[in-house]
Formats: sequence, C-alpha cells, structure tokens
Amino acid sequence: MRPLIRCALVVWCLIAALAGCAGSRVVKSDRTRIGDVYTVDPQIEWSRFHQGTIEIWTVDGPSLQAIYFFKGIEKDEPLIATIGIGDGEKRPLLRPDMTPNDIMEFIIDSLARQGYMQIETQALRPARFGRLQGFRFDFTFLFRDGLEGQGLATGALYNEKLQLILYVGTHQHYYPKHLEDVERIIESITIN
Amino acid sequence: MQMDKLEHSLKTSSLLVRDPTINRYINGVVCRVAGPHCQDIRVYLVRIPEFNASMAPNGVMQVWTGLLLRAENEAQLAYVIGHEIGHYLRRHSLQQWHDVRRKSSLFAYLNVLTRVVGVPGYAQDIGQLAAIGSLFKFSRDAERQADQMGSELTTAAGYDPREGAMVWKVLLKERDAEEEPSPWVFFSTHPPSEERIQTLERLPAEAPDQDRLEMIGEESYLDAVGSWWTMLLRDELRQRRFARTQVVLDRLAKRGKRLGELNYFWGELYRLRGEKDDKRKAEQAYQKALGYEGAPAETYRALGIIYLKSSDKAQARALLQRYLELKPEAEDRAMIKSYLANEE
Repeated sequence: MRPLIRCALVVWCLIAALAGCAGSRVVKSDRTRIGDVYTVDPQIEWSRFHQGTIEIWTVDGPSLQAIYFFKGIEKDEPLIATIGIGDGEKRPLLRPDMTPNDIMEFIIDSLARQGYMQIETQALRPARFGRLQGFRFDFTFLFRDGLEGQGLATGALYNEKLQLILYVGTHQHYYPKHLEDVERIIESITIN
Repeated sequence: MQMDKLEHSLKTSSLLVRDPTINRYINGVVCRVAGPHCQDIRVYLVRIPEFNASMAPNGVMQVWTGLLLRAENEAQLAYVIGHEIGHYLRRHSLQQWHDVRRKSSLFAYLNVLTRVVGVPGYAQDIGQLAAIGSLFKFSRDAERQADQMGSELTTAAGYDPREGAMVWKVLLKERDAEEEPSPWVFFSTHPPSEERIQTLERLPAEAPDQDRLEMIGEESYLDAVGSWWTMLLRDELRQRRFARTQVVLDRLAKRGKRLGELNYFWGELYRLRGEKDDKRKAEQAYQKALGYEGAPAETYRALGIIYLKSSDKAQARALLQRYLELKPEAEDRAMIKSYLANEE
C-alpha cells in the first residue's frame, strides 16, 4: 500500500477513525523532530497522532483544530489519497515544476475532494520555511455541516519533496485559540 | 417525518445556492411548468457540478448546478423539471418511497446508497443528497409516463418540447466521451437510451395543439445563468473529468459568445490535465483567449507562469505585470511580485 493511502481519508475529520489508525501521545514542550527534514518548538502540549507520512497535532480534537505536518510529498503523489469512489478521475498530483501558485491549487483542490467546501484562498505570498524559501497562504471554507472553517498553509520544496504544514480549525474560537502558538511553531522551523 | 428531516438538512446545507435572483428564475420556470401545482413544490438549488434534478414525494425538488451548466436554454431546463414533476404528479416517488420504507429504515438505506451512488470527489453528505435522489429509481414504464407528462407540461407551458430529446443527446455524448465512465447520479435513476430519445422526438408531433408557442428561451436562459458560468465552469474543472468537460466547453463555444472566457477555461483544462502536448495546447488556448474581449485577467497570469517555466522570461514578466495591472487587488499579488523580482 502506498504511504499516503494509509487511512489518509479519515485523518481529516473522524476522530474515532484516528484511534484506529495510530496511537497518540503528547508532544512535550521541547524541540520536536518532524520527519527527517526539520525540527520545531511545539510551544504548548499537543496530542499527537501519526498517520503514515502525516503527523497531526491537536489540543481540542482534530475536528475542532489541528496542525497537519505532511512530511515530504513526492512528485506524482497526491496530497491525500482517496479510496474507492472516483477511480476514473484524475487526482491532483504534485508535479516537480510547480510554482507556489500551482501548489496552492494542488492543496485546495485536494482539500475540496475531502469535503472542504467553498474554499476561498487569501494572500498567497513568499514565506520562509526554516532557511528555505517557501510560500504561505490563508483560506476560509465551510465544513460539511456548514460550520465556518479557517486555515493556513505553509511549505517549501526540499529535495523535490513538498514539506507542508496545514493548520485548520473552526473559524469561531478553536482556530484563533492556538493561532499564535502555530505562528511560533512555524517561526521555529529549523531545517536539519 | 424523515422526509422533513432531510428537507431540513437540505435547507441548512452549505451547498445550497441562496442567491435570490437565480432562485427566482428557477422557481419561475418551475411554476410555469407546474401550473397549479407550483404551490406544492419547494425548489432547492444545490451547488454540485453534476447533471441532476430530483423530486421527493413531499414536494421537495433538488436542482443541481451541473444541470444549469449543461442545459442550453430555458426549454431544456423546463423539460427536466417537467419530467420530475411528471414523476411527482403520477405519484411514482410516493410508490417508491413506500417500497423503501417497507424494506428498511430510510437512514440505513441512505447509508448504503451513499456508498453505492456517491458523487466522485465529493464528500459523504453530498453522496447522501445523491442517495436521496436515487431512492426514486423508477421502472421503465414510470420513466415513459414521466417523459410523456414532462413533454405535455413543457408544451402546455409554451416551451418547445423537442428540446427534451436534445438534453438526452447531450448527456449521452458526455457519458460516451469518458474513458472510464463514472456513475452518473441522474443516469442511475433515469437510464438513457436511443428509444427514449426517439420517443421524445415523436411526442411533440403527436401533440394535438399545433398552435403552441414553442419557446426555446436561449436569451432569457443566458441572461439568468450567464453570470454563474465562471463559478460553474470552475466547479466542473475541479472534478478533473476532462473528457466530459471538453464536451461541455465545445457546446458552450458553439454559441459563439464569451469566447475569451471559454478559451481561458480550455487553457485551464489542458494545464490541469497535463498530458503529452497539453502545455502547448494550454498556451495556444490562453493566447486565443487574449484575442477576444472578456478574457479573465487570470489568463495573463496562467500564460505568464507557462513562460516563467520556459526560457522566455521577458514574455513572462510582461504577462505577469499585465495581470497585476488588471487585477491590483489580486490575492496572490505578493507572490507574483516575487516571481517578477526573481527574474530581474
């Protein structure tokens, strides 16, 4: 089974399914390694889930707010694999010559296929990802039940793999609750 | 009671299109076709890029936005609506509903159907909306009756009933274009066939009143739906079912209108498809778009990014600068400026 296919679909919203996919533990407030490429300072204590090549940190539960660390998406790989329905479709795949505009579209189209609705992007801009030149953008969306959601994405290509951090939560309360912590986590990225 | 719950979930769905103008237009067509039954019908326009309309026995009609992209005129929209009202008036959906209720609880049934029917690339709740529609999978006889009634209703409402056959021809063309046809929600409940098309072509000639209006309503349709094209086409492209989208774009282009916009979307299709030679095709389509009035500012960006990846940096700079001039409030302004700075 390809790495991203491992239960990736359920990562996004279903807490119950998460328990079945991986164990959880708390991120201590000290330097934490994310994959092989970088480390961050978690700022606060998070519950931590592993899901194949994706790592998820949350305080109040992934359906309320979560940081998703995509630890190196390779070329010709999807952001999130879908299973079953839509085999005849062409999924968005990461291409080696993608610009940040293309990558934003790749991310947004992938999220839309996971049930994020009416996604509106804002302020695609250059941003440092550790010492790497990367990108960042913000977005709003609606959850399946109509609840307003908010998110940010930041990342960079490193050795032809996309290192990506998504922070997603409900517009009211849960996204803003830990936004400053997330900003500090992003600032603390140190590429190995 | 369960139907009321489903209607409530429809009312609160984030997919519901709430724009009053487009809803007023759709409701107007529904009322024109439904006549005295208009007051019994509640129409919900749902933002799903699939051709579909369905009607539940409690008078709830769903019209999906994919239908609006595909109908070419008001008469075609009216035919689909008339067909669904035909099922409703003939109590087909009620019979089917009782049958379902006898067999199992609605929600258990929906859970199964959601998995079976589903809409490719869409979330479970949308699959459930599709499943609600597919509860009403009718017999061939019921389909024939609904076709007949739909034809009669649209004729009585003053529309050209021959447009009904056109709807099916167009849908079959889209379906046949796909190498790996995905399950069409509408087809799952309304099996298409040549026989059906022939019947719909024959029915108007058999209608007794030859003094009918035979309105097609292309202009009124474009006036009402035209401003939604960009969103509808974006939603369609996001499905990445390129073969069928090509059929849609071909048909829209035949109208000879908004060619700047349409050629931009051709470029987008090739760019996203990314098959051999698509980069060149995308470039040509964007260039063509810029030859017409009304090409979106994004055409300059798309073309500029193509040149950015090639060796023609001067062209890239000119195009990206033009994009920023045309769209100073662009949400990716800072990123585009960084591309320009890197090429200095």
